[in-house]
Amino acid sequence: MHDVLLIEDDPGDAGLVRIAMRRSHHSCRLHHVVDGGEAMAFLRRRGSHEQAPRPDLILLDLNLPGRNGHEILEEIRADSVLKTIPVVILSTSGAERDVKKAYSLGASSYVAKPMDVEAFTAAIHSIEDFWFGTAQLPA
Amino acid sequence: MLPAALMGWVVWGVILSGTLVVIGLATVLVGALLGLWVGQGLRRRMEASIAARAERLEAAYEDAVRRGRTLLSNAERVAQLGSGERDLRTGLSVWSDGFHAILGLEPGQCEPSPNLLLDCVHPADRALVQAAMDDVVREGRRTDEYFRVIRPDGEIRILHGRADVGRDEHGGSVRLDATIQDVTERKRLEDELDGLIRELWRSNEELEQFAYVASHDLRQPLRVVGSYVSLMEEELQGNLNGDALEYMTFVRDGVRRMDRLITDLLTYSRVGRTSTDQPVSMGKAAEAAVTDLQFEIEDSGASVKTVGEPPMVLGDESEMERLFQNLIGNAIKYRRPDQPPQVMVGYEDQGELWRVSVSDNGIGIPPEHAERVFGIFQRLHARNEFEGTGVGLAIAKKIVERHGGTIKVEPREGNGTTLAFTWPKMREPVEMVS
Repeated sequence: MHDVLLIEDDPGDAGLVRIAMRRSHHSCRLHHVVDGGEAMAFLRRRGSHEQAPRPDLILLDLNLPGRNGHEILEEIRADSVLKTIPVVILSTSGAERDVKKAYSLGASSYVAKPMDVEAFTAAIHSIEDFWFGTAQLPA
Repeated sequence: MLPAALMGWVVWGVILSGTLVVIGLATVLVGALLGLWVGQGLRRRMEASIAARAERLEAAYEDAVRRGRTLLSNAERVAQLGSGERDLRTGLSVWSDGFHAILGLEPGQCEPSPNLLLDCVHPADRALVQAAMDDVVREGRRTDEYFRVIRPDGEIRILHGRADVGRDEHGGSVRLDATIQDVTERKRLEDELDGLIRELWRSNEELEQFAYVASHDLRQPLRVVGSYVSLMEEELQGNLNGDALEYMTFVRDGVRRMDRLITDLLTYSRVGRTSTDQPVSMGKAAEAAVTDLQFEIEDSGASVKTVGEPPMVLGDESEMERLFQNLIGNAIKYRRPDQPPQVMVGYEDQGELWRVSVSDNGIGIPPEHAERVFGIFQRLHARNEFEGTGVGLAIAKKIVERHGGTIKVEPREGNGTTLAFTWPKMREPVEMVS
């Protein structure tokens, strides 16, 4: 069982990720937080997240209220404990500057959210297949 | 002894010759006196003539000097320029009228000197001017600086000062030559221009930000709508009646169109902002466009022919491909139902420019719409006739015009459409790289 932390403020998009994961053959626990503050609290097991597991994979949206995805990524990569967790950017933006910036800040990969639901589901499944099938994760 | 008669003759002779001598002497004397008198008159006349000539020369010289000074003074006034020099051996300074005028001083009412100039300079700029003047003398090379002066009436003017050393025949510095130019107006215009450029930058950045927001914030809710309609359809499979199914189709269609509109608008706004100009082959761009349109070409049975030699031009590769894709794509799309599209891409050397035309045998564009088709979101057909957002030709126009070309619908006899654009030739020949 893998733990996935989804950092996404849009309930619609979060729902799509949840549905896609429910339909996948990988068994994942999806934890959903809506902004950077809550994400860091979850990752550092603070406040109500005392019992939070260390996620095997982080799915990070870029357009978030307050601190944006790039800033959160920067904070994760600057944390000696958290920096080994793979972070996949999941964004509506396919803008070159967003992609470049994400990789330069240490994103593990960048996925632009596809417009229709089938392609969206397929994208989530291929992320799961790669990180929980093909890739070796840090223990 | 001589006879008395002979003596008489001798006496007469002596008397006669004496008289003659006297007469002769008198004549000589008179002649000499006469000559002297005449000579003196001549000399006086000559002297007078020389004096007159000298006077004329002097007048001419003064006139020339005056004219030279007037010329200089007029030139200085027109150029808002003043000139001055300082003799480095004597320390004496001379300033032109223009020099005085620029500083708000009256010639003759002040004693030109470096210190007087420094007194006129704005206190904040004094060190700069002092250093520049020192530099010219010490380094012996020309220099120029912008600085402010305060006129006696308190008006502040901005000057451009230039200075150089004047040298004697041995190359030693003997003079400091300087000009000052009043550039207040020019500086004001430059500042205005700077302001406009800054404003333009700001509005460009805003546009960029808008494009980014459009790409992200407008599409996200759209994706949610589209995705959940699909999911709802899945959930309700079998339970939807004919009407509900039709409504679902409308929703999905609306979402798809909105997405295309946003994408096209983004493309339109990005033309010229993300591009890098370099030599590109129009032939290759057209080929790439044809490859991208392969499905449409096969689907419609279209043929695409090339006439003339495609040139190398300066442009952005992806923009050039898009330009051909939009034009050839339109030629295929707006076809007659009864005949496969025949597209002809023609290249023509027009001296300064290349003329590229894309002709087809399609439905044509009515002359009254020839201008309209280049407007953004401008469509001539209902969606059930021809799909599209009406941005294609607007993008084409923007790409062409950004490079100094023009694009238009060419009037033509009979069926079909000819769209032609011009593109400036590259200034320097670039070798074709295969």
